[in-house]
Amino acid sequence: MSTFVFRRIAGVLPLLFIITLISYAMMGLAPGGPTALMVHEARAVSPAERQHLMALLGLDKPWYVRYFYWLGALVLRGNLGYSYVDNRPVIAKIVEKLPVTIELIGLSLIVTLLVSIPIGVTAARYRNSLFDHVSSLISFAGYGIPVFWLGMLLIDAFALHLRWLPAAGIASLGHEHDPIDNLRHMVLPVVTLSFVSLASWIRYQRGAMLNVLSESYIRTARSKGLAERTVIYRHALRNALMPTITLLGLSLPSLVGGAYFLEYVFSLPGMGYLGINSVFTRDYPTVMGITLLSAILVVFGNLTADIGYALVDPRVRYD
Amino acid sequence: MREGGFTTLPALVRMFALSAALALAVGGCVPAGANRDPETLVAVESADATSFNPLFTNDTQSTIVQSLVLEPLVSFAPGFKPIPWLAASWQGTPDGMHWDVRLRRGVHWSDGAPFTSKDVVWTWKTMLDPATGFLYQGQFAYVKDVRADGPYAVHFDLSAPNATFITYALNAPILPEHVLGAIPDAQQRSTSFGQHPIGTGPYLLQSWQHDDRLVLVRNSHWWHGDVSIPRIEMRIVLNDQARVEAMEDGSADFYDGANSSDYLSLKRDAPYLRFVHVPTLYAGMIYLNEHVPGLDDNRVRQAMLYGWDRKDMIDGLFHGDDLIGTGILTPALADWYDPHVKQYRYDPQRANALLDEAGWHRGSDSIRVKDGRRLAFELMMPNGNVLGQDEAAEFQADMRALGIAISVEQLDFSTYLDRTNTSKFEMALGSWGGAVDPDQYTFLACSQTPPAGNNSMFYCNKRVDHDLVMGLRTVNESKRRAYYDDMQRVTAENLPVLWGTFGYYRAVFSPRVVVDTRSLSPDQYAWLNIWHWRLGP
Repeated sequence: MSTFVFRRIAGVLPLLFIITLISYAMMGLAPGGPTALMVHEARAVSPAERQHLMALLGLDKPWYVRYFYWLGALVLRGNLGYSYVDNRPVIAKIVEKLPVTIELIGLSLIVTLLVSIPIGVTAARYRNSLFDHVSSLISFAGYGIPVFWLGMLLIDAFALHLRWLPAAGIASLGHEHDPIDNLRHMVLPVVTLSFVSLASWIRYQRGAMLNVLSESYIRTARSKGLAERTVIYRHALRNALMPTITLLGLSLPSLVGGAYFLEYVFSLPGMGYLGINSVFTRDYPTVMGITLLSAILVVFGNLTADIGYALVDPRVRYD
Repeated sequence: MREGGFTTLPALVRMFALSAALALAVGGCVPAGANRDPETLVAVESADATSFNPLFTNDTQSTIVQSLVLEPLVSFAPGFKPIPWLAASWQGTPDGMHWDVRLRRGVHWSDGAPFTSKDVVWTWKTMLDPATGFLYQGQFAYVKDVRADGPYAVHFDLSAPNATFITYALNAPILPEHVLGAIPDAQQRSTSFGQHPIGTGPYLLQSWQHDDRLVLVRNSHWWHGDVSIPRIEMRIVLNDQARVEAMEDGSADFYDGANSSDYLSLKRDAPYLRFVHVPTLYAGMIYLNEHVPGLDDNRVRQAMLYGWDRKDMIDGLFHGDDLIGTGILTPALADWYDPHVKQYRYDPQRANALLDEAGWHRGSDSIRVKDGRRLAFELMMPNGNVLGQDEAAEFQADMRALGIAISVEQLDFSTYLDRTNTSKFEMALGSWGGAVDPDQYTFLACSQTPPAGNNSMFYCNKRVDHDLVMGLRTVNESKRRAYYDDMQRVTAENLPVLWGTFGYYRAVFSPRVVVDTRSLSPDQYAWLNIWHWRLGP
């Protein structure tokens, strides 16, 4: 088992290298650049002075040279660099934004689990019923709707028209330490992110439950005369949940990606908001820091799922 | 494992739903403006500052917060008239080549160190050293030498007279030599000064949560005297609607730089607030690349301006709350702005006649053609600007009626700036301004076309060139005015750009802020006299 885990972790490093290299290349080849924005309110800055500024920041070198400087600083000193926008360490900028992103993803996961598992179980239990068809419809709607679009629709309905919930931010002025106020602000983004995640979770839970319900020990339990509720929740669900739990790791990419877009739509000052703004301002060190962290999250999410599978399912071989 | 653990799942779901509903209900009942600190002015801002270090920033928000903590030698009275600040007085030689500046005595940095000529000389030497990477180094390249003449006097030698010396050079914030002087210029960028500033100004930085809030507290040892408002909390509220709500429910006191729709909706829904709008230093315009055939003909440029119904656009998009642009200088520079230049009121007949005269005649699809070339241009603009999109659409429709085809290309802001700065455009929707001096040398002079400067339109007029050069060299204000009057007259005839609108700087105050709104300066200068503001009950 330990060899299996070690081999998988060793495989992660080249993957992270390729992800960061491609990201850096795409950024380096994109039109515009950090100095365009640095000087845009100082239009008296001549192109020659801009060139000098680029040289000072090392931006006069080709992107691949800059990439290896960046990688060298990361590997040798653990330094993600300094932001071009405010000259602060990138790691400090990311760390201060992380709690908002973790709150959004964490709450969405909780909501998704609490909603999708009962729906998936019920849909499997009453297969081909109206409930099953409606839940399938909701699932496919979740698959199809882009997360930012749903977010905007919900803002329009619940914040602008009905005025039930705040449209943006994580707290009202004067209520910065009020958890209830914070929860109110998180309702729309969490509902949005959960809705698009629900689709896969409901389908997965339904499938797992159907598999378990066809097992012989379920027939045995029923033949012993146990109540259907006991059969479902005590015998079937526990086994149907095991593979579903491993889905947690696999769902991280879509959750992280969705959260990034939603932070922008709902003006939540999290990592995604910082990342998107950094792309607009061509703040390369910050973009790379966020890309690396997101890649690590996603890659290790997948790794956890793989290891989880291996632990849960004896048919998965370690060699 | 405990038996029956999963039987509680539905109960959990019910509990979650209940707590969410409770959160909605309870949260909705708390008045947002309650529990306000009576000694704190809360301002809502749409963006955060980036740093307190003026050597490496030029964004509006950073300029604002820097002005509350750091101070220049010369500040501005309303109308942007220079007044002594850290400088007690200044005196120039008649040729404008040498300046003596006497410094104010008894000024201390917020850490207790005295402010002296060492600070001024160090700040200037660092700004002028190319290794520092100061953004405006080239703008001040005419400053040849700066030296101390005792602890409270500084002498400046210039390589050429420059009329902007007082308004720009002496308005640069002074930095503490005793804090930063030991650090090599090439490493100034990586100091923590930008996040932990030491200043001589009326406020001190207390705390800063980026993209959330920045708190400043009164500097009780400020040389100028007492500051009335003990604490300023700048709240970064990214969403327009949330800023409006904060003003409506009393949780904020000052909406700095409100956009026109927020301003008008607050005026309608919350008339108890105080509203101020003053002309901004920025002018909206369309850049024209004169290297593009068609745009090199002034008759075509004039026809476009005659055929662009800007009043209709202002009425429709800005609810009539903007002015028609008449030139490169805005009414915010009241001492220099000349309203009596050639005006271009909407006149499609005149526009069509000018295009006919220029030899552009309507083709089969009603788009004008000359020598086999269609009168068609690409209008570049930054994306994400909804108002700008509407503006571009109105311009496009007006031009179509004249027989000019306009295709709109939206680009992300960085790419847009890159292409504007390198003249890779035909027409570009944008703005220009922010300066408190009428000098437009880098924008309009023939020698300032890329790659040398910022005249990305390739505009070149010898008379304007003469005005610009003489305006920059002439220190005497009344003589100087004649050059800029002429520059405005000529550019109004021979259009370097299409004037769009003169906007307003808009601010909204809660009733408890006591401020003389008549003397409020626009844009980043709105906070200029904050020590005069008071908080009422």
